[in-house]
Amino acid sequence: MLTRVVALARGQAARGEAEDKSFAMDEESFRTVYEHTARPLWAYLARVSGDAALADDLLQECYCRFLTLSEPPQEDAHRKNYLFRIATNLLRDHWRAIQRHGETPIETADMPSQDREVTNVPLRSDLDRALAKLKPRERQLLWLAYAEGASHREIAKVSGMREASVRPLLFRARKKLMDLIGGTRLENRKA
Amino acid sequence: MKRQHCENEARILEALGQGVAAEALEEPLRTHLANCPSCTEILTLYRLFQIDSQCLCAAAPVPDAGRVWWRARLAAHRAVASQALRPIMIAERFAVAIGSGAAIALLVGTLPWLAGQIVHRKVFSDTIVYSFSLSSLIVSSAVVCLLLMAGALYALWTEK
Repeated sequence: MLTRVVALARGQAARGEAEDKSFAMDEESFRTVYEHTARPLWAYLARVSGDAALADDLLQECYCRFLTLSEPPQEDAHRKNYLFRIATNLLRDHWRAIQRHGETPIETADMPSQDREVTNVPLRSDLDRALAKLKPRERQLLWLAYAEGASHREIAKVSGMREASVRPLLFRARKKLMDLIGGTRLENRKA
Repeated sequence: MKRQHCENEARILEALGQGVAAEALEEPLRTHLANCPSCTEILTLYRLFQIDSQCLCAAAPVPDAGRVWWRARLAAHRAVASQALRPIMIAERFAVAIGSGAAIALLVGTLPWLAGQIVHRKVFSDTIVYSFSLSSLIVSSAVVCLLLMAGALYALWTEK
């Protein structure tokens, strides 16, 4: 019986090897997709998470998941949206894991403090300081709408919320951010 | 004063997203943009985010595409291998469970006999004296050692 099981496993492994040699796209097409999407995706992950190292990890994980899709989207816009969706899910999983381990809760997760080393990437801009005071979901919505120029429908698809909910949430996030930016500028002037 | 959102926001954002500059917007929309505080706010934010995004994208330390490709292949290979080895893992665990159960049952069944072999009971006028024979102690220690060694070897083998 054991011999049969081993033979079966060997067969499956051989089939698996054959399968993993052929992703739905070849390396050259992947390179093209990667060159077009990696930087905006990294910027999204870095701004929403506030952690450059985490953005590095999640970026690679995004593409690993994207490559294992049996039928990846063919159009450029769809591909980009799909990658942003994977990134959003990964961020959500990350925050859930943090919450499960009793660390910072999801809705109040803050950006890292200023003294944290985040390579030489300009993570600490005025906008970033204001964004740091928003909830992660608000940061996601704002980034998708204003940095990526995504429509409400695209934002709904990427973030997994209803299209009708995007508009009021985005409106509130925008007002909050404008107030924060106004406050930061006033503080800077006083200083 | 309660701030309201404007119906033209989506149109303005769409145009900006398509790369149309604010100054090059169609006439009714351009005039509206100049007079609507909500749409002006959107334009301000849009510009802020675009500058920030461009700075971040330029400085983004993204790894080489080839590295990500190989990492993905490795992950896929690992997933396939673990899936293929699952039946063997299950059979192995089943065998270990059966073997351990049989060993425990054997030990429990033969314990009185083993105890009788190791410990000798003698009665001297109303007093019971227990004595241990050296040879049986040596033999039982050797058996225990062999069992432990077998367990350790199995653990090493499964680690590898």
